[in-house]
Amino acid sequence: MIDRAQAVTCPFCRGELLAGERWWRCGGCKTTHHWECHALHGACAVFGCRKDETVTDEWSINPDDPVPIGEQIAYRVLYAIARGVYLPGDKLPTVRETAVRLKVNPNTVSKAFRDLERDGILVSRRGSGVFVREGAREAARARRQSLVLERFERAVGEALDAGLDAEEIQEVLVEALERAAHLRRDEDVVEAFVHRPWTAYRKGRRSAARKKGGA
Amino acid sequence: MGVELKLSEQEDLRVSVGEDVDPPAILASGLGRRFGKRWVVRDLDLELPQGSVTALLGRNGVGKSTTIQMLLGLLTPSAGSVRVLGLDPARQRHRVFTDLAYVSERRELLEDSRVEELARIVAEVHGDRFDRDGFERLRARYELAPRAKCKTLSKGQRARLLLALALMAKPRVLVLDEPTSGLDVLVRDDFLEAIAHFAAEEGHAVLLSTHLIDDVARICDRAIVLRRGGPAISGDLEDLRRSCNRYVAHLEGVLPYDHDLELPEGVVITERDPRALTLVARGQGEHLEHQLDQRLPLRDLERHPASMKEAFACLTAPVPEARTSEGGAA
Repeated sequence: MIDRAQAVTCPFCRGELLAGERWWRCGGCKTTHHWECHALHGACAVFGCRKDETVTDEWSINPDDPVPIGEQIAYRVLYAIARGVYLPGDKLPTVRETAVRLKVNPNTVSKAFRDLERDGILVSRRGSGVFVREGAREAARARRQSLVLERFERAVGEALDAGLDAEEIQEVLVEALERAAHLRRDEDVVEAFVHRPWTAYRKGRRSAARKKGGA
Repeated sequence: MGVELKLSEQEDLRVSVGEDVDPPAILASGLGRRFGKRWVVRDLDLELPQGSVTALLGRNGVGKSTTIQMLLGLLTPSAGSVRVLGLDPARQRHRVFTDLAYVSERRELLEDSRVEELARIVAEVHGDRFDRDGFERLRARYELAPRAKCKTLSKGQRARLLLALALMAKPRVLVLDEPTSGLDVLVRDDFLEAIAHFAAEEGHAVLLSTHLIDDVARICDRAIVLRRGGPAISGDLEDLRRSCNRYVAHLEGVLPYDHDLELPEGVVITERDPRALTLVARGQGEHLEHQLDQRLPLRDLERHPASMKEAFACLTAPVPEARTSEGGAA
């Protein structure tokens, strides 16, 4: 049922835009991208619009989805951790911030966080917030992979139902893989320009925050 | 992002769960009201726990506004009793109203006063509790001109003004009666954001009456569903949704469109195709499936979890007059 939740991709890093992340939607080119990517690239200069044209952040929660909202939030946080948006030791937005931004009930957010805490993904420290646990990335990745594989299996079943035979399915798969490889051929560039400076940027922000707090 | 609401960095996940020592925000038992001989609300037991955002749902004319007015002490119940934070709202109205804010669906203001004058009046009534700076921030954020006359405000501006006034009086209970009906999506977002922010505070509770199920699914964690001719249903929102199921009944042959279907009680049709029906039913189990099998030429019956919308289409359905027990005598 997860596949009903719409996935939106960030044009900079090609990662999914997930809850727990800040996104910007540019009024100029109408693309939505990660806050960090936005900050790094001087907004969507790439797409030919002015920096800081507009911004509203959007979160994808679908209240009419049969997946309960709490689970939707938990999945998105999980995916964000799997992708490395939040690294072990990072602090997540508070329950209140998340609730206000998503416009959902704080109890729902708090329950989603608690579920992830129970699963060993998050750890809450009294009085200071919720953090990503050491080793959570691997666990989150494994969960994400198993979900994708499940989806895959369903898609194969559906393809068989629709009258495609095994050979045709294989063909489609190979083609899709080729297309993906083509799209991602500059993966290294993306890695160099997006992921690493981004981490640096986030770390910089953290130490700045610490200094501020200490002063 | 013009979010002016101050967010506290410090918090604990378990705070909002809380131990149940305080009285519930609102508690009503055996509540009823009749107009002439007609009972609009009857035998209503209702609890609004602290820390919850509860939706008050039901079809038009089922007594939602009547219920809210009784809870606020604005209308005397014909039967039963109400407690707001442990107090009787009819006798201790001024004390109740220091801790409770209410935005009515009618959105009445003092038409001849200006926005700033209205704020001053409300501030005087509430004394030190009223947060003038907070009001100024919200007023600026909602783009309300301080010198504007109330009678010149649009529907959306009125709603925003009332929301700002209600929030800045620092209540512990917020009662919203169809706050966003007839308003655009931006005002709705303001309300949702304000509710989320308000509910994150410890010991706060919200009662929200609305027809917008998407909003309910988003922001509420409990619901009270009023039904015509039957007792209200209340409980955890997710449980209520899970109590309903969507059935897709594939039929043998073609069903004429004007064919009158005899469905078991409490079953609602949401889609009708010649060869298939989509039904939503409360509860599940073989009994219901057996009943459907008896009444329809079934070829196949699929069961799915219901969405929030479907669940409420089913839950708000009127209860038939001559009603035996749930699901008949068999």
